Amino acid sequence: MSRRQALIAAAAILVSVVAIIIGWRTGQDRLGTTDIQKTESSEQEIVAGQTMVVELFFPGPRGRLFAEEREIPVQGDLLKQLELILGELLAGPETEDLFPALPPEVTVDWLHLNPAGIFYVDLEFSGDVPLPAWGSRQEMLAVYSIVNTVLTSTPEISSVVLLRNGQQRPTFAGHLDTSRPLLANRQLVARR
Amino acid sequence: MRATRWASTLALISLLAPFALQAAEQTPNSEALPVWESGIATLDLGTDRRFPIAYAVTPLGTLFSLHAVLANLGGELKLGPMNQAHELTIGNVTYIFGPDSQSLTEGTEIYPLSQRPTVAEDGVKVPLDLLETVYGEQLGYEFQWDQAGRTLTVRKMPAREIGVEVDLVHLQGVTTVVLQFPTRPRYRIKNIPGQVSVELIGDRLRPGSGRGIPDDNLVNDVLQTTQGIRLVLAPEAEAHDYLLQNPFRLVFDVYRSTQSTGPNLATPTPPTRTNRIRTIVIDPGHGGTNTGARGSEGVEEKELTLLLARALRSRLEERLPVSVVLTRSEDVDLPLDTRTAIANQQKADLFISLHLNSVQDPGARGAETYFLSLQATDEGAARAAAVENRADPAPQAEGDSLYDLQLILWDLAQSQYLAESQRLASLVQEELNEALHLRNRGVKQAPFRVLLGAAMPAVLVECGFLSNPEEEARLLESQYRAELVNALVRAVIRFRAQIEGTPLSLDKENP
Repeated sequence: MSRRQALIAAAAILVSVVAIIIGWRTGQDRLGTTDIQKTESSEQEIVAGQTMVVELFFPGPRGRLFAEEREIPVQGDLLKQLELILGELLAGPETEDLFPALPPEVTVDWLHLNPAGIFYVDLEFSGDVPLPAWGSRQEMLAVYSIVNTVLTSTPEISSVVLLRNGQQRPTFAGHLDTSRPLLANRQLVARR
Repeated sequence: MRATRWASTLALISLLAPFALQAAEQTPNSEALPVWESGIATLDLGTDRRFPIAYAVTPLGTLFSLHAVLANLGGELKLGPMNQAHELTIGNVTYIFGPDSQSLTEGTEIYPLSQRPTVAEDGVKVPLDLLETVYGEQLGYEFQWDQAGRTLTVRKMPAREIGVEVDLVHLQGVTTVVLQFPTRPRYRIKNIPGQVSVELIGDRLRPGSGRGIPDDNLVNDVLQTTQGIRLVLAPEAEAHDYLLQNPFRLVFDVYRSTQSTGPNLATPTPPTRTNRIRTIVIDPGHGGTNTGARGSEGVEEKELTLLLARALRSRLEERLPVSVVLTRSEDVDLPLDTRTAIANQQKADLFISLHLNSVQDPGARGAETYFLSLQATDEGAARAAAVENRADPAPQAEGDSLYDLQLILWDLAQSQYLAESQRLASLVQEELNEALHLRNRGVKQAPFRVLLGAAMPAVLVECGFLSNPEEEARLLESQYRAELVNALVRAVIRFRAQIEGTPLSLDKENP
C-alpha cells in the first residue's frame, strides 16, 4: 500500500466513524419524539423566582367569555404548568363581575398530552354532584373557558379533548359534541 | 489497493447509512413504532397446554405472532398481493388486514385497531385487539395478556346470560325493530330472504327477557330462544341493520324490497334533493329526566320547548303543504342521536331543534340561531386529530371504535348542507329579531351534537334566556310564544320560497 493509499484509507475510516456517530444520534432523537410515556413521567421543577402571565377565560356579562390575566410561577414541566393553569381556572375569577366556569366541586383528575399535541383533560364531577341543568350557552362557556385557556396559554397544544369522570362523552352536558378534539372558540370572547 | 477500495466502500456506506435509514423509515413497514421489548412469551391455552409465542412491545401496546395463534386456535392465513393485504379465514368468515392499515375489515364491517400489524422475517405480528375481534367473534375466545409474567392466556369466554328488550315501531312504510341489550353481546347477524337472525356467540339470552311483537305488516314474528332472536319478515320485505350505542342497540329497518333504498339511520345517506320542502322535523329540546335549563320561577326548558314545537307544527301545517313531525310529542327522554335519526328516517327537508338558554348572568337575553360548526375552520385537522385520538393510549370514547366511524359518517351528513343551514339560520334570526324586538345575538356556529348527523338543512334555535327573569316571564305568556312561533313560520316560508323558487307571500298578522 502506498503512502497516498494509506492516507485515503485512514480518511475514509475517519469519515465512517463520524457518519456512524451522526446516524446513531439521529436515531436516538427520532425515538425520543415518540416516547409517549415521557410526558407523564416528568417531575415537577419550579424555576425559582420566574413567573409568567396567563389569560384565564371566565364566563361574564352577556353570556360571553372574558380574559383575566393571572401571574403564576413557571414550571419546568409542561404538564405541571397546565395543571397549575387549570387549577387557577377552577379556583374561579378574581374580577367581580365574572363567574366560575364550573361548579366548585369539580376537580381535574388526570391530564395527558400526546405527541400530536392533543391535550386530554379529565374532569371529575364527584358522585353526588349531578350535571347542572345548563342551557347550551352555559355549557359552551364552561367548555370553552377550559379549551380557550389551554390553547391560548400553551402553543404546543393543538386541540383539547374533554373527558368527564374518565370517559369521553358524546356531549359534555347535553348539547356540545365532545366526542372529538376541540379547537378554540373566539366567537364567545368579549374584550372589555 | 484492495484496502483502499474496502475503506472507500465502507465510508460510502456509512455516509449513506443515515439517509438510507431515514428513507426506510418513510416506508410503511419501517414507520412501525419503536420496539421497547421483544422476545418469546407463553401462550397459555389451559390444561397444561402451553406454547411459545413471539411478542413485541411498542408504545401502543403489544404485538403477537399470528402464526403461533393460528397453529393452536385454528384459522387459515393467506398472504395477499405484494404481501400488503392478508386474509385470515375462520370457518366461512374472512377478515382482511395489512401492515399499511390500522384497521381490520370483514365484509362491510371495519374494526379500527390499536396499531398496525407488522410483517417481518419472523412472520406476521398483530395487536391484541385483532385477536380479540377475530377469535372472540368467531370462536368465543377471550385473551388476557400478562406483561409481567409474559403470558398470553386464552380461554373460552364464559357464557353470559343477557337480557334483551325488543321494541317495534312502524312509521311511514318502515318498521323499525330495536333490540336493546344491557351490554354489548357477542353475536353474528344472518340476513337471508324472509328472515334475519341475531345469533349469540358464547352468550345466552335470558328466557322470557324479550316480549312478543304485535301485529305488523312487515314483521310477521319475532322468535326468541336462548341462542338468539329471529325476525320473520313478510314476503318481499327486507331488513337493513345497524348499531346504536349507549346503550347498545341492534336496529333493523324493515321495508318492502320494492322500495329503491332502505332507510339508514346510523349512516345517513343524503336524500335526493328535490328542491321541495315537504317534510319538516321539529325537535323539542330535552325531555323526561333531562329537564334542560330551569328558570327562576321553576319553569323547565323541556316544557316550553314542547309547547313551542306543538304550536309550530300546527302553524306550519296550516300555512304550508308540508308534513311536520315532532321528534317527541310527550315528556320523554330521547337521545340526541335518535332525534337526528328520526329526521333522517323521515327524509326530512328541514330540521329545527328548539331550545331555551341560560347562563349565570341574569342580564343575558335574546334569541340566537345556530348551525353546525365542524369544529371551527380546519375540519381536516379535526379529523386528523380524531384519528390520532384513536391511536392514542388515552381513554377511548364511550362505546367501541365503530362508534367513531359512525361519527365520521355522521359528520359528512350535515357538512353537505352547511350553506343551506346557514341561510335558514339567518332567516330565522332576522324574523326573531324583527318580530320580538329581541337583542340581536346573531347567527352562530357551534358543534351541537343534535345537528351533527342531520342529512338536511338543520338549525338549533335558542328562543330566549330562562335565566333572565323578564324573558322567562314573557316566555310563559301564550301571546309571546305565538309571536315567537309566527316568526319561525315566516322564516320557514321565506326559506321554502328561496329553495323552491316560488313567490313569497307573507302576512305579518297571519304569517
